[in-house]
Amino acid sequence: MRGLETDHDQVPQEINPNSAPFSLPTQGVRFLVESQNPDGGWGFHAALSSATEPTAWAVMGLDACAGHVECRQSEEKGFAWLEECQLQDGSWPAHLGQREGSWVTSAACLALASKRCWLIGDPEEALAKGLRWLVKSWPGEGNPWWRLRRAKLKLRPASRRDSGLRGWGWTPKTSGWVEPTALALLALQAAPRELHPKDAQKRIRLGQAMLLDQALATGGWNSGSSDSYGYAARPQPGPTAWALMALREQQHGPEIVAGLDWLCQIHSQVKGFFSFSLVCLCLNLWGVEYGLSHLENAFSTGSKPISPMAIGWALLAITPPEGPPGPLRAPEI
Amino acid sequence: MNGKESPLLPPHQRPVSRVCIRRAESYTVDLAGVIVESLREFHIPVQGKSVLLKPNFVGLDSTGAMNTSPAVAGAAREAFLRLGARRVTVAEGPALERDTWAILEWIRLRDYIGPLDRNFTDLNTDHVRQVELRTRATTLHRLYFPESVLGTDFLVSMPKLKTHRWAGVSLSLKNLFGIVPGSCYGWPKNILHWAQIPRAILDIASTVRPDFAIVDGIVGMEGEGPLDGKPKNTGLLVMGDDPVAVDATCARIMGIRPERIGYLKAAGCLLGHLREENIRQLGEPLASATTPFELPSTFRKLATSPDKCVMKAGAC
Repeated sequence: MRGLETDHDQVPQEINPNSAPFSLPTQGVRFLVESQNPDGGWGFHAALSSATEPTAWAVMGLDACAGHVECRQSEEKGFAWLEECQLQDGSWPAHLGQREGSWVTSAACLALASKRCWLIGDPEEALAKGLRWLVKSWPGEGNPWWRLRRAKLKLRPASRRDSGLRGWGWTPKTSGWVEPTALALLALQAAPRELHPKDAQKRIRLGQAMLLDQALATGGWNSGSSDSYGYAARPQPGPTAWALMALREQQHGPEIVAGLDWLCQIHSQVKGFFSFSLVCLCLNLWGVEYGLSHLENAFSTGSKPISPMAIGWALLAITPPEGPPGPLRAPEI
Repeated sequence: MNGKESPLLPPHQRPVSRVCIRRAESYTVDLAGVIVESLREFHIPVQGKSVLLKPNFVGLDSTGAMNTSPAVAGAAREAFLRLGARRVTVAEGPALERDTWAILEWIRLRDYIGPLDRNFTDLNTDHVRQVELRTRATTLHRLYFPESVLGTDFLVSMPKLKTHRWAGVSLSLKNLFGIVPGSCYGWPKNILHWAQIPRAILDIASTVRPDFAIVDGIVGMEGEGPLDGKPKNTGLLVMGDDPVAVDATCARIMGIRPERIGYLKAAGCLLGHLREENIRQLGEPLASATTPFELPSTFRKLATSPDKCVMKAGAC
């Protein structure tokens, strides 16, 4: 047993000498195929019951490697699971059997917007319903009733951000946060325009404005606004990656430049394969070299269960940025 | 013996609670020995049982004040195994940092508890089951909880000794926010904020009441906790089988009257003992352990208004 905590900044990332290097895409695809549950979905880790978010990203990861023969059947079963899991109101719950939708609807919509989904079946209705739910899903803050109540009770705002710039919350009727807002924007941007419900463009504009409003002066994003937690927030790799992916249309904005600079500076120090693969996915979309061997090493370090979601991101991260259109690129449907 | 089924009783129907305060000057002393010795005083029936340790792992912090020390988590695991527990798992579902494994890598938990794939459960991504809440402090009525928590024989809350900007103090009851699964509610678990933090603490603690609490006060956090406070060396471990009594004792150690913390005051009505006369102190006397903490700015008024309860957390 160790004594005092070590100074982690001084210690290089540990590599487990017993584990062989993880090879992408071959081992990533094999892992996804082998860790798929019999019902067609994926859990957050192998052997866990199927959940919407890992299933959506696993399917997208396989979609990015469509050349691999073993992907096809696995992908078809994954899409079928997603379609089965959709609720009557068009949303997706976090886990099969739950009765209320959440931010995972965006991930499911993003998967349904992928190229192979349209080759396999006809996801138009499911996708359109999902998008309708997303566009109707407003956060709990910022509406006229909420403003009136706060004014009446003389409540101080919880943060300095503009509550009129309404994004998306994790769950219905709660506050808007960076990650669910970015995911919803990605889903709406990836879907064919003809499936966009009324008000989709308004929501996209508001969501983008909210993300830009929440960019930190130091560069990058935290999970919420700069002062959500009561102090000057520090940027985090995950939220920064999400925001940058969702704001690719605003290439020359100062917030984007500062955020991308920050992510490029810190990406090699990002802890954890989950965060690291997400950061690599973001950098890949922006055409920034991140180093495949670093990404492969992230999966071979330590004794930890590998996440299908992170593998999905990693497979998307190794797709050439100029490659065929995928869910995270402009759709050609 | 499982707190989850423990009856909700008013103080006059509860036996006197016991709380043990132990000196541990640093994380290098024989913490497992200290914890085993204390657990023996409580005659805890963990022989052959599954034990789930729920520390407070918040984020990638370099001060050592934010997270329950992995040394304490590892020592508690060893202590319960020495007492004959069949299986001891460390489990956490961080509320703010989505990448649980990045935190574990940062704090090097594997060095203290062994292989993480066998000895650690990420509560944010575990199997979940919906449970009816036993109280109605919020309007949530039901929440999803991880099967690992619902299925364990013995649940141990292992918080850090901390002040908290929104709750006053963050101890063994507030630590239970980490059992609410992020896979269902996001990062942060914002639904609990909308339900009001003190009220949500009560509903969760009444439904999934810990069987035991071990508070890491060797280095605590004062001021703007849980994220932006300062390290405070107190050199203490605080333990007990009544989480309310443990939290009340910790508040007193920090120089805070627990009756002024709304959710603790309400918890003292049904979940455990708050009043000093109902708590028998073991180990170090409370008076010599007391080390006033700097209060968060949101709670400073408390120090000058002795009769004011900070947050209305339910009728008492």
